[in-house]
Amino acid sequence: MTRRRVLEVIVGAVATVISVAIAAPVAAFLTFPTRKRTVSGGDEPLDVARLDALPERKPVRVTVKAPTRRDAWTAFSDVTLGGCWLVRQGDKVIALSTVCPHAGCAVDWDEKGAAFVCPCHDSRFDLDGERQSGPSPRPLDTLDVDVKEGRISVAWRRFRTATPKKEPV
Amino acid sequence: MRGTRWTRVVGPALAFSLALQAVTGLCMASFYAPSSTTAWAAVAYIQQEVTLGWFIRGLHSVGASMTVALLALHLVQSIAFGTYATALRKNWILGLALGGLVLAFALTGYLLPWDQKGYWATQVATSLLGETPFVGDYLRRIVQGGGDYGNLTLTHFYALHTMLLPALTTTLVVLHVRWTRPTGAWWPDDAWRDALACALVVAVSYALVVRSHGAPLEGPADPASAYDARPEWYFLPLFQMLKYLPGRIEAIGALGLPLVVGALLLALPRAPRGPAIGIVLALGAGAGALMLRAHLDDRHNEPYQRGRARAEADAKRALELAQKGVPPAGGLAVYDNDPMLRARKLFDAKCAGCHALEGAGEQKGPLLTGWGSRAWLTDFLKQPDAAKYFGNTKKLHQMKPIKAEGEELRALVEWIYAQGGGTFDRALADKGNEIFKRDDCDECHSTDGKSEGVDGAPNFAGHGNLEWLKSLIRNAGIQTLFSEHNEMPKFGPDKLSDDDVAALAGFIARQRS
Repeated sequence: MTRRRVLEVIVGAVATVISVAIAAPVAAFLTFPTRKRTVSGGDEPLDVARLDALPERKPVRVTVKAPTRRDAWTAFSDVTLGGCWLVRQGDKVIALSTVCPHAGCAVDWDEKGAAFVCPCHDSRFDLDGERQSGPSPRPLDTLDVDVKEGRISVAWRRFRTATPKKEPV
Repeated sequence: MRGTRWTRVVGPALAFSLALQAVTGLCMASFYAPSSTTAWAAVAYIQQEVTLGWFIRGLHSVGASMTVALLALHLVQSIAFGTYATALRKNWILGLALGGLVLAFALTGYLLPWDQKGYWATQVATSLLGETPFVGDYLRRIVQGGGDYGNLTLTHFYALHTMLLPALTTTLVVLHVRWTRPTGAWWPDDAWRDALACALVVAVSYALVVRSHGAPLEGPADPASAYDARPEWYFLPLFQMLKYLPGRIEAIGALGLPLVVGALLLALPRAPRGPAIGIVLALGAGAGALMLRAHLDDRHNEPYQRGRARAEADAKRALELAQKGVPPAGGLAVYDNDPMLRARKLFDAKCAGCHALEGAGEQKGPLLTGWGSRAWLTDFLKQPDAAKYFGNTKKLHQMKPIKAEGEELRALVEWIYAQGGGTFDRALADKGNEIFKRDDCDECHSTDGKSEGVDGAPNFAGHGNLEWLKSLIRNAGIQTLFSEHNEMPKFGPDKLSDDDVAALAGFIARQRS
């Protein structure tokens, strides 16, 4: 091996060692959010409305608020997690996430057409959340509802968009 | 003479050190939020929660020192080897400008954690800037985003530290390297030496970070505190000098002296080598002497050392409390997470209307300063009907002062104290129990934890322990406490949560020790 070649190998080896020594802790640091939940709290069913305040078969939009939520370093109280549509059928209530399963826009209720409509790409859903038309890959996402002593609680979740299967994120 | 091939590694090592700062800086910027309510909390999060956060932040802090040290070495070398005179004149100027930028990095970065150290040390820097003749106040307002420290100070310093200064530095470093006279084939003859030098920078930095367990983070910036700030070691000469400059001269000295030093260095290539070396040696010796003096002053300054100890204890407590999450009001609000502090606030809200504690509160019910301690019990037994005890109640006047004195009183107090737990003298307490019976205390006070006393005399079982206190706070009118003679309001679950009651009971129980 020539002297030049030896030096080149030394430079290469040292540069590799330095790169690994720096890249390892940097990678561990930057990928932290893939291993740990950085936002937590508000997973439990949360009180949103009184049952007798809901009209029959007419959707009502409610805001779901968590009493406490930890967002990275901050401990918040009374935080808005998101919205949902409540549809009452007798003593039964279904809760539909306002997040469109297609691309995450907020669906609205079209009084005249009696359908949920996504303003972004015109997906339409019926009163039960079933898809009528448009690009959405699945029905509106239902949320777990709890009716106890005349009060309605909803467990708010966000689901992966643009997939036929409903998976929590 | 241009130095040996080994001495030429300092410049490249310096550039590498700057690049490493960019990498660790980018990491931290991804987890940081510059505002007065989030900065400290975010840095505490990096320090305690994020994987290897303490290490990355430590590396950035050690890296700053490393960069300044390499910069000084680079400067000294170029003078020692005479390159300052032979190099392109514009490259000498560029090098000095880069030195200024490195110091500006250090200054702006120091504030970003918004901890006590950064907050108070940077106040000094911006105050001095404000003393600049004619334009001082104007400049200060631009740099710190207004007249007061706050959100805009952090956004301004952050923008300087992570955008303007890096852009300027990168540009100048590229030019500085381009304008350096070539010294022959770099690849691979010099490259391997440079690579080894960079490896040494990494190795030394890592070792320093591991040894120091990362950079310290002080408690959140508290404008109301008395904090004795010190700058980083490389600003110590300037800091020390300010002690010697009185009044108006201070402003001139603090700004003028760095300017004079800068001008001297700028003019250096015009001076012959002998005087040039003389000037630099004098500057170096002066700076070194001031640094040593500052260090010795602090070491023998007892109030400063006490302040340090307090600041470190505060920092430790604040970081512990931050693990529960920082309230939206910002870093300083972590102290509200402190159960003792919370209890104190609850006390002020719920109890101080009737009970006095440490000089505050009303005197309707018994004094709670030192409540249940031996001293409190001793004094109480001598005058239970004093205004500070039960004198201002309507239905709890029946107890007569205790006749026992001296050793007997001590024994009786020991026995009562023992009912609430804690360390006590058993022999003495046993003797106290005999006096309790001999002097007929047991005619009114029961000790079984079940029976009602006479005329509201409380049962002594567990007197003063946490459960006893909790039950008293909830309802002091139960039969084992003051029964129908009670005048203290009930604090049911509608008024105080279980946590609140526990916090208050713990708070009062602390008065016993």
